[in-house]
Amino acid sequence: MKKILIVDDKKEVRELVQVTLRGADYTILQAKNDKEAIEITHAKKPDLIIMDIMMPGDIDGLDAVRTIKSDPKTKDVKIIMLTAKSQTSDLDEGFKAGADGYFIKPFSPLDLIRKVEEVLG
Amino acid sequence: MEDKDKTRKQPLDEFAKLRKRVTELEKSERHKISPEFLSDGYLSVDLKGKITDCNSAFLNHIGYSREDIVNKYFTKLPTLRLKDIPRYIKMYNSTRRGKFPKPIEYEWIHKDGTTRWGEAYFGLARKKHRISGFNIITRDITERKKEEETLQKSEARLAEAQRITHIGVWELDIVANTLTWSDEIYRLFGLEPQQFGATYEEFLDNIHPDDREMTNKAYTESVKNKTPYNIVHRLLLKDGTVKYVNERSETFYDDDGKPIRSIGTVHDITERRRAEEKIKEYSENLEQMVKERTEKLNHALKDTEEAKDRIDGILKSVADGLIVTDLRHRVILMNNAAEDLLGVRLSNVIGRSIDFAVEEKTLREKIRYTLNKKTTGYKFDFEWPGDDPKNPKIMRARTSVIHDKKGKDSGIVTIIHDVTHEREVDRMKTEFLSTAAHELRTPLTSIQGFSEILMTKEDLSGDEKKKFLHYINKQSISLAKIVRDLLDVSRIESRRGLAINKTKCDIKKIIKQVIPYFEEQSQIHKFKANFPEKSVELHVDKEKIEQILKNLIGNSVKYSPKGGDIKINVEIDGDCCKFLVKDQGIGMTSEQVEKVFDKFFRADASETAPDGTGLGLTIVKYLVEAHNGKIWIESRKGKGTEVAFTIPLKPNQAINEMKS
Repeated sequence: MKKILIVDDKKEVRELVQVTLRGADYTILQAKNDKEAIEITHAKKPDLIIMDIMMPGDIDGLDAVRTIKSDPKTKDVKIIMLTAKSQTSDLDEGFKAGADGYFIKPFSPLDLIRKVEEVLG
Repeated sequence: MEDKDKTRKQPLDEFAKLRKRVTELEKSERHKISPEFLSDGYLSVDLKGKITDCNSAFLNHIGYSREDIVNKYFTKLPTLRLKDIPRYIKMYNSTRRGKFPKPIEYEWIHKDGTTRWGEAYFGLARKKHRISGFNIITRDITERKKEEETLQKSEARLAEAQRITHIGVWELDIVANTLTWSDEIYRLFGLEPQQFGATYEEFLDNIHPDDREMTNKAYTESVKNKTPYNIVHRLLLKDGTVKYVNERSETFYDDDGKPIRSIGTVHDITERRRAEEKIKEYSENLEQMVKERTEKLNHALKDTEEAKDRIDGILKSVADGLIVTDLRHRVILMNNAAEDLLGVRLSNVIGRSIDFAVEEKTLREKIRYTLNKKTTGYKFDFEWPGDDPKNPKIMRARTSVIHDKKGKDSGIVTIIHDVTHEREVDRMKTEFLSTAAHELRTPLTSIQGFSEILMTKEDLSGDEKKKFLHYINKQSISLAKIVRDLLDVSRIESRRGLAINKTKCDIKKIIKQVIPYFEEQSQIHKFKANFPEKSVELHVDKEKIEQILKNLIGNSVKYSPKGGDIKINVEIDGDCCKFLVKDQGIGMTSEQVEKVFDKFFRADASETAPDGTGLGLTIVKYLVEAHNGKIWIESRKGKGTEVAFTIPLKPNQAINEMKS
């Protein structure tokens, strides 16, 4: 069973993603900041991280992406950026950091399922 | 004329003598006196008109020999001119009738071809008391004739000269009391020349009445004092014409000192005088014109100076710095703003190089660059240390080449504008949009996401459905608030302001309606309201006061994540109603407090940061001020925050205060 980590500072958004992916054959993990995200990634080895990259916190969201992608132990973890930023330059930054896809808030849960299947597929 | 008569008189006398001689000759015939002794020409003609004899003097007159003359008919004389023949015949007839005619003047042709003048006198020749022919005495008067001609010519010339120069001559014979006028004087007086005899009275009559006495006096005194006089007086002619004449006169005296005659000239200077008057008039006009022009020029100069002062004033008072430099980069002008900006005084740098006046390298180089490249409207930004080197100002300079009237470059004008604020506003605007977008996306994410899940997911429990609907509702309210805040700020920013509809409101009532809204949302906070015993009624916009209170209480709730008391106090403080919202939340540092009313400022952007656009307090401040009130904040990090605001008890009170 594939493990998916949801990283967002807002409980409501984590809940939304959780409910969206419920019923499919995934184990859902949650982290509310970058620090937790990196810890859980190391501990639980998720297959996919859906991460809000404009989160307030100690580390820039992109830094977390870079950290995970540059660590040999975690570099194969797929990362989908979930962002309120929609400017191409912001997304480019994300891809440069190693992200595998992006999703812009607000989003359609059904689209997210398809995107997750695509990335994990 | 008179002279001519005189000259004629003399020959007449002569001829009386001549006649006598002829008579003598007649007698001498008898006494056989030879005509050869006569100095005048002698010619005898018989009754048939044949010349019978002549003397040597006659032959000398005509240049021919005796043989050429004697026994020839008189009318065939080679010296005769045809046109004179009738006169000789007349003379002949008249002489035959025994009348002694006046001598005749005649012209003859000398043998040498020259025309000569002669005078001839005819007399009868008798033989034995019978008329036998004529004796003719002739005289060569060529020399006299020439003199007469010369005299006539010079007289004519004199008259012509008088006519041309408008100078008339008069002569007063004091002894004989006769006044002689030259033709020109008659003309001057508007009379036909020599129309009637001149008199001194006639002369005085023609003088302008106003000048008559003066002229008479001038003449009489001149005669008395024996000094010539030279005056200008007017003539008033019979037809009303006025003339100006220059009169000079000199009197001659006999050995006893008695005046004999006065000679004077009258010079018509009317035209000159008119010209002089015209010139005077012109010069007066010119003077007047010059005066007027000078006045106008002075006016124009004054206007120009005023305009210049005005422009100077405008230039000096414009808020933007203005520097004018010439083609050699010397400072020509600098306004107050530029002086303040560059920290120099125009008086110290005028005429000196910009290297001296402008320390800032970029600015200096760009000014030079503009002139070198002849680029007009060159725009560039540079940082200016200003008062606070840590927060340099951003200055925007525009340089342009100044062209003179002929279109030639004459210098550079540089305008420096402080764009720090604009830059900041730009930055804030971008941030506003980005934040606004982000803030809108957050509630929209929940609304779109949960509504779609509610529509598509079939494995949802009743509680879940209820919870998701609650999320959607909550986020819709949040969204509505964000939108309202954005619109409010936009209205405030664009200075259209927010409509304030004031009515009499019971403050206690408003607060009692607001508190339950928060009590519903939070169980960890205690809301405590305090009011004066007496009900407080204010003339305010109820909705706006509600908005203020909701914002402040909402902030207290948001920034007291661990709960605690939230006090709402209302009290009468002088002529104001003072509101206080106090919490026991996370509080703020003094730096944060300073920025608390800035747009988009959010004290806490940490992990636990509450949602918000950072617009709330900006709007609250505006609303309080729109009610003529004041707002202030006291806060201590970790202890809590206290926001106070006042609303005047009487409407328009603050405005009245300001007026007084």
